[in-house]
Amino acid sequence: MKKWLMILLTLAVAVWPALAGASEMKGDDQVGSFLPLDPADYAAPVTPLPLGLQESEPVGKKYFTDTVFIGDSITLKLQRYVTERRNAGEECLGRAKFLTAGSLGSGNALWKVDSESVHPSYQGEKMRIEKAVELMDAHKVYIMLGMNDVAYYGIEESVENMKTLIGLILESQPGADIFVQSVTPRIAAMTSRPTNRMLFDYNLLMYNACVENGWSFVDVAYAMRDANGNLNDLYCSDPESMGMHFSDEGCEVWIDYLQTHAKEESK
Amino acid sequence: MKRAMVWLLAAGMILLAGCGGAPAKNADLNAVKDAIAQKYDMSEMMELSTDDLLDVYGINAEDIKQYVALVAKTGTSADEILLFEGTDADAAARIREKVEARYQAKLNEAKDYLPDEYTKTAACKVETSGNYVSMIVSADAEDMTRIYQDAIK
Repeated sequence: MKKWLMILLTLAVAVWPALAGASEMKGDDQVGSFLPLDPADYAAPVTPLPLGLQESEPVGKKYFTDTVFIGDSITLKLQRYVTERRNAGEECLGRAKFLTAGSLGSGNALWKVDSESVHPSYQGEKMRIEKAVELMDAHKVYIMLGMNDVAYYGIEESVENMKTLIGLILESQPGADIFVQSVTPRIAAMTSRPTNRMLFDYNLLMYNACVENGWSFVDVAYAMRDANGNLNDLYCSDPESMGMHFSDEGCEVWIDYLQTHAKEESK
Repeated sequence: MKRAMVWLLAAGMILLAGCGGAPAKNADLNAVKDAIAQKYDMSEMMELSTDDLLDVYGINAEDIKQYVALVAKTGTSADEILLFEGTDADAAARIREKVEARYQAKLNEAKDYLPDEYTKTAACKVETSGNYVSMIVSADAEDMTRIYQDAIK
């Protein structure tokens, strides 16, 4: 009897966070009753189901036409992959644009722009992210930042910086749909900071912030990690150095996930 | 009289050199790219379109007579080959400004987390020669630059 109770309890603990995550799909009326996810509830840096937006029918190229992807060197690889496919005559993420810079984070994005800052450039001019989003007139803003933040600022401050950055974007581009993408993990061999545990905990807190603020959460990390929460080796292009950047195969999985985890009312 | 002519000629040459020199040839930049590709593995580089040039560098197609723009396929390699011929001197100056901004951005981005790429980039530079503007960032930049210089001068 005790044994059955234990099994039931374990199942409930394992499945609850995913169910709570799926509640985002039910609309804003769920926000008030949302129970924030607690990293302490997760023994391993994995969830049984993706958080945030759940699987949907694949969207067409129009979905990404007014979209900008904001990110660091990880998103820069996606940008290069998408550019190469487009220049080969293939359709890839509609006409989505990119705002990327190596070593960009939500922390240094809030610094003032100067000759040594790492803000991304829009049409050759280095500028604050919120200004670029406004100039692009982007209606959907996908952001993946945090890899360059959590080891330096800590998890909580990194989340606060992201919230500040998103707030500035919404001030510049009112009504934009915000899509926070979970930060993808590193391969198992990489145990230096930021660790996969840190990234996972950061993602959970960012997920909570998304639900609380009505932003969408796109759990790209879910598609990229193995059962232990590490980046799948096949998706990694730099296993000998940083163990976090993607191969072409990784980019294909990322794009497929974006196309099949869309926001219903944005289609 | 002869002496004055020599002085005038010398002064003219100095002036020309100060303006970035006067390339004598009508170089074919695609031929330069091919010559580089014959010697070095370019399989990890990808070409950019004129639309990309505006998005990434802010360089307008109207300013460009011909170009080669190659960037690394990965986000962690600083390798990049930009060769431009501007439509005129003003266009070349505008292109140079954008390429210099790009070069500085590359340094900033690599400085704190890709030390090897930073060193590689720092060893390279943006150069102007007449209406030609170049930035060649590569471990083999010295030799690639020689191939390019041989074509334009």
